[in-house]
Amino acid sequence: MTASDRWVASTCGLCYGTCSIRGHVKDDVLVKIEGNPESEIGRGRLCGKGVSGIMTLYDPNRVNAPLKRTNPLKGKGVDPGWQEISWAEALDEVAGRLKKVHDDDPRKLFIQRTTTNTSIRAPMMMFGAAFGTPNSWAAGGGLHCGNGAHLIGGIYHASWSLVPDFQHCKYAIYFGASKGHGAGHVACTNMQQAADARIRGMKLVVVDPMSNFASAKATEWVPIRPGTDAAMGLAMVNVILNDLGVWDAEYLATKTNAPYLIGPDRCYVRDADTKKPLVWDTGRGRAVPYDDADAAGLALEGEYDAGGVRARPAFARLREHVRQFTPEWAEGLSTVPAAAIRRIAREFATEAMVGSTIVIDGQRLPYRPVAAIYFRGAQGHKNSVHNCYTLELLNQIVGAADVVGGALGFNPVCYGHPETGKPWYEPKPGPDGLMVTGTWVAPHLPYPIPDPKHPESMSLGGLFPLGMFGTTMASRDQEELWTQFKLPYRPEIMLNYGANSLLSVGNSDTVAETLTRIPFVVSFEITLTEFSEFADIVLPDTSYLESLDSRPNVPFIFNHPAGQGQWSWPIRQPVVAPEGQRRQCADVLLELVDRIGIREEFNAIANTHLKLDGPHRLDFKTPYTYAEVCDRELKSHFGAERGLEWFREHGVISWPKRVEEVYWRPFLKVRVPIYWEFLVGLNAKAKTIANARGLTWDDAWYDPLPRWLPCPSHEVRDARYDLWGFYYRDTLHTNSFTNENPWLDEAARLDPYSYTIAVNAATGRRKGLRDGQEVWLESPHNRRVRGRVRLTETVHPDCVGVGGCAGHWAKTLPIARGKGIMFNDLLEVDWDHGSPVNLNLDTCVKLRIVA
Amino acid sequence: MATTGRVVSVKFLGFLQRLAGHREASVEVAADATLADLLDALARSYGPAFASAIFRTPGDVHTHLRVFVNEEEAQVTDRIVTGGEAAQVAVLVVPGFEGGSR
Repeated sequence: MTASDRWVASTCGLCYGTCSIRGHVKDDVLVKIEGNPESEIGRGRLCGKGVSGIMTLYDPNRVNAPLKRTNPLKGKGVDPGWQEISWAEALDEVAGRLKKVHDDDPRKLFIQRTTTNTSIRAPMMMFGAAFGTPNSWAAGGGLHCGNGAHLIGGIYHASWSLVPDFQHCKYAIYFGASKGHGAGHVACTNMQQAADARIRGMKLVVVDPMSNFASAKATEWVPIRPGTDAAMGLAMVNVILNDLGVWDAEYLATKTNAPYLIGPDRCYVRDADTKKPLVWDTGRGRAVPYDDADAAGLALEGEYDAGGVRARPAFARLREHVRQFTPEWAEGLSTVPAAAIRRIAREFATEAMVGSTIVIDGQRLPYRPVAAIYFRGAQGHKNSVHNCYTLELLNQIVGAADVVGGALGFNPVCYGHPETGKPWYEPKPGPDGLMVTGTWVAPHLPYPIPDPKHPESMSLGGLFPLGMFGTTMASRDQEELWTQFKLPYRPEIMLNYGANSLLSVGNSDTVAETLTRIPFVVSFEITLTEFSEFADIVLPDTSYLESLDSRPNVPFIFNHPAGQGQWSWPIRQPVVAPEGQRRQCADVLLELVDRIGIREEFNAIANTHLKLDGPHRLDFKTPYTYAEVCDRELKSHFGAERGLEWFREHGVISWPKRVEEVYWRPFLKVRVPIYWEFLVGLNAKAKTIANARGLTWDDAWYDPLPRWLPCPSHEVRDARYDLWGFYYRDTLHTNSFTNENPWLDEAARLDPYSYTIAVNAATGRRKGLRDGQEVWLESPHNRRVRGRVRLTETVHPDCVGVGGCAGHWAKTLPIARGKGIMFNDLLEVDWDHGSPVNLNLDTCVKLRIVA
Repeated sequence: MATTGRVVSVKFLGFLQRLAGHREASVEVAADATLADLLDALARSYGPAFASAIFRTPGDVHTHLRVFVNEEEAQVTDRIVTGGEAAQVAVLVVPGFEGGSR
């Protein structure tokens, strides 16, 4: 290797999976990207997107200088009349406006960022907090893919999401998930682990409206109507608990709130002195606090006199509650045959091997080789909380949570590098003994839940503390709701990083209307997109191959493989130097920090957020470059000798995982809720605030036990709209970002599904449709998108599936323009299409095909 | 909280500055006061909006509240050690939660 011919270790940035890569550079030109075999994150593997990053780097349409809008008129397809300006001129204007807003009311700053590039998350979040704005979101992220799944992942697994224990699981059910078969979190390692699991004999049942990436490699595909996952799940829970009589009594008694006594008011019966929830001690025949060390055995069934009321354990209430959800009832909603629901429930319960143990690394541990995995497909609905809650109960009732073979949160426990003990985190018991995550990603923890309050953020989030982001950030009725709740300000500046919210949120007309109301928009971009048309200033960003980041895969609950193996902490570093006037956003933010006068805030936040330690802490009043911050973070975790220079040379540091980190559940005294008692109190408090502002309220969404609740698409009565439309993640693309990459575009054009509308072949023939025919998809709200039909056996007869998030129209995207379909243009973004419990958007739509 | 004449200098960072109405304040604390005592006093002084920003529920500090004493992060159960000089306490609510410590 020479200076002119070298390999540089870094990380991918074409999806949030952020796999480790190494780039081959010849004469300062990147000529090849491969996976980095030295890192656990990818283990040398790389997907089609990853190897294509070279084309994004060398895109001839990259933004290379700051741009200023000259056309004051904003709208879809309106030319901004860009004029190149200097960085000094651009930052003078941006800093001046930010300073004015900061001094007036910091809440008037609206921060938006993409989910694609994980490296911007920490700098942007720290900047937002230092500035003092609560208004930040991921441009549809959360509304589509996480307000439910991540919430439930956090409450039950202290993790952002979950995967089967690929190394030991024998039977996994995926509900709208593709872990190990497509894109997303640690995609490349998961793909290898899933492939190994298939060879080992793991059975995989995929419940999904479409048979694509996971189903194609599964043992069985179970077609289901969108948004009805809870119906099937509730019937399965009923079959397991009431027909088969299978549950893991020890797990439920010691690791959940199943034994907590529930009174007639649906709340815990509490100890009069300590206020702790009571359980029934079968040994002593009396109620005791849940954490009484002398309790001989905790009742899961029966009815008892406790605290002056008749009370039943939460588990007994759950078991009784689910009796109403028969497989025949579920079939009517989901179309999954009742016999199939019974069979799959029986297979799951049998394969769970409740009571069995296994020895791993000399330790005898519970062995439950089944996993129910849910993600975007199950969660992307108005009813996402109850969908995900129900499906998680499958893991909980058989004790298959973070034990050998079961559903694993990825990496909620880390005891650090052997030489430093860092990073270190583990879940701990919180209020009522329920688990609090050891580390987290989003603006607030999944548990404990704050008291709801009169909302002061654009998302109305304070009133809905279970939601990460809300529809009102870009909804049709945002002004109406803000007025209703007397929001005391309106956004005056948006700071956007790489997001294209015109395509990523919902129908673009609504989003465009909300953007035109924001007086000044600044956007960090690598190419000009549909969003850029609404910007006043565009700042030329470096691509991930020109950027530095000390923490591309941190926290480990987001982007690190689960299961046994190694820990790896890689860095991102420039593989090549940036061209033109491109500057890394994090550096620009630090300059703005000083110009606005919020350095003290930023440095304090950096110290706590990045866990900077000892001599590596930032002095509150000293300016630092982003490279210096990165250096201090690495030294804080791995010692003074392993700073940025060490990592530049080595790329990654790895160390072995311990068994108590991987299969942590038996080792930690934390419980999780099979009964959401906290929703009862939350409902009462939030409803009072909402009703006072004239917001209608349905208590059903706050039921402490899971149920199936219909989404707007389930309630369309007009028979002309006879199909459910949904979009799915195309493994060839990430959001709308990679459509401009010519290699990926070529692959997508060769793929029969990437740019087409998948229609069930029998349904299509009945409608007289043929392959390749151009049709409109039309919603009951008169929204339309156009595309070509692809007849296939691989989609539910009642559904049409659209790949990815394409359909660009910007002239600045010559590769992507006019290709594929923007399904989101069919979605309503308003209060009625959002969840009143976690603010999730309904991403399915009832539609009809118009030839 | 009893007052003894010992003075703590408190700095409000981020959006707490807006809720407090100013950036810095001097607060008298008892000799054995903890940071939790100080937060209680601040909540009483600055009203319900400030209180709900720092307390998750009444009496239970929000998971995202951070308190620094002389720029060192501290636990709310810690006593305010001044070392003979007026302690500089900074309070801040962080946007997300990462890390973790023993």
